[in-house]
Amino acid sequence: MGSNILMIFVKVVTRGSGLKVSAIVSINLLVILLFRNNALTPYLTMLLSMVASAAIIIIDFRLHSLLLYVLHVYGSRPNTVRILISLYSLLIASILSLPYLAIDLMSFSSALTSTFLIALSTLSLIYKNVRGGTSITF
Amino acid sequence: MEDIVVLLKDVWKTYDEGNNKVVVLKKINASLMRGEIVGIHGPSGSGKTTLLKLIAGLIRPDRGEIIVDGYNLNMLDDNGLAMIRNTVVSYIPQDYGVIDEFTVFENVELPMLIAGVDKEERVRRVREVLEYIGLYNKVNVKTKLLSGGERQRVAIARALVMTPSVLLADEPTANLDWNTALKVIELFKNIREDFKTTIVIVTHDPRLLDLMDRSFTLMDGYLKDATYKRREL
Repeated sequence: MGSNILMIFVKVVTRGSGLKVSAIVSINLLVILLFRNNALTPYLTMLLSMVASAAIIIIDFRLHSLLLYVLHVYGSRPNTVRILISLYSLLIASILSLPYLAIDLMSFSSALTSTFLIALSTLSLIYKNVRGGTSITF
Repeated sequence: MEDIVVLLKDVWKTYDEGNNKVVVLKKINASLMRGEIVGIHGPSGSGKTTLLKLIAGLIRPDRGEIIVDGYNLNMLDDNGLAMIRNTVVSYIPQDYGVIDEFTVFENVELPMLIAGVDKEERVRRVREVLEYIGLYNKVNVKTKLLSGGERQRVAIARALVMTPSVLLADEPTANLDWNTALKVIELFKNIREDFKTTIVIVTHDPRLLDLMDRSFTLMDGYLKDATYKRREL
């Protein structure tokens, strides 16, 4: 995948989702700070991350579909489009998981970590499949 | 002898709709010459967009051959078709496919980014094409701030920036008033004169067909040359 395509991808992510992701991560960190002694906090931040990932996928659906469609129409190789879809879902999932990882470092729970990773992977997979279908049939 | 740029030989296309197979295009035969503007007219759902997408290499036919500027699309793999879409044929979608979060410059340079053109060359070519279509004064404006006609011209500039042999426009005037539509057609005519580009315009507006060099009607899956018929009227 060329660095130019990566540049387009970064532009779209930062302009389309950057503000929303920053806001959600900030809210999550705030929750951690305010309720750091509460046993439910890890679950709350995890829930927030899940809901936020889903929300961003829904909100930015049209923009990302359009970008992938335009790249497809103007000659991006099919594999490039597929890699971009995977990269995007991975990026959103990783950034949104930062607050949780922060709290996890403080109080490690393997059960919670596993639940969290499974949930994030599922979400990424859903996103990837939705995007994959959209880029062809848009 | 005239130079054939698009050749469709016995092309068929079928879509699956649940358990049914719908034959959208039947035995399509046509040849389009270099530098001509061709209109394709037909009712909604008649397969006009499908035909454009076949020529653009966005989808593949069930049967038949499509040859674009010497490339037999059947002989190309997915990467080969991607190369064709980047350099030989440009498709302008009905809703223009302009990315609102990007500026005019960023939208127009997109095909060159895909092609790996260096920055200096990209800047030069975007400037040239925007000056050509009269939008250079908006080069750094986000496209969401532009009017429908301007967004349309951004889409045309983006399609033109790689100087393709074939330009395919799907209902380019659908969302425009008649005067703006005439200006778009005038722009297409200038492009044809200046670049010898073959332009295929799909439209549901029969008035536009009078402005084309040739016109076809797509009805019940069959493509018929309607040039004579219209000129006799």
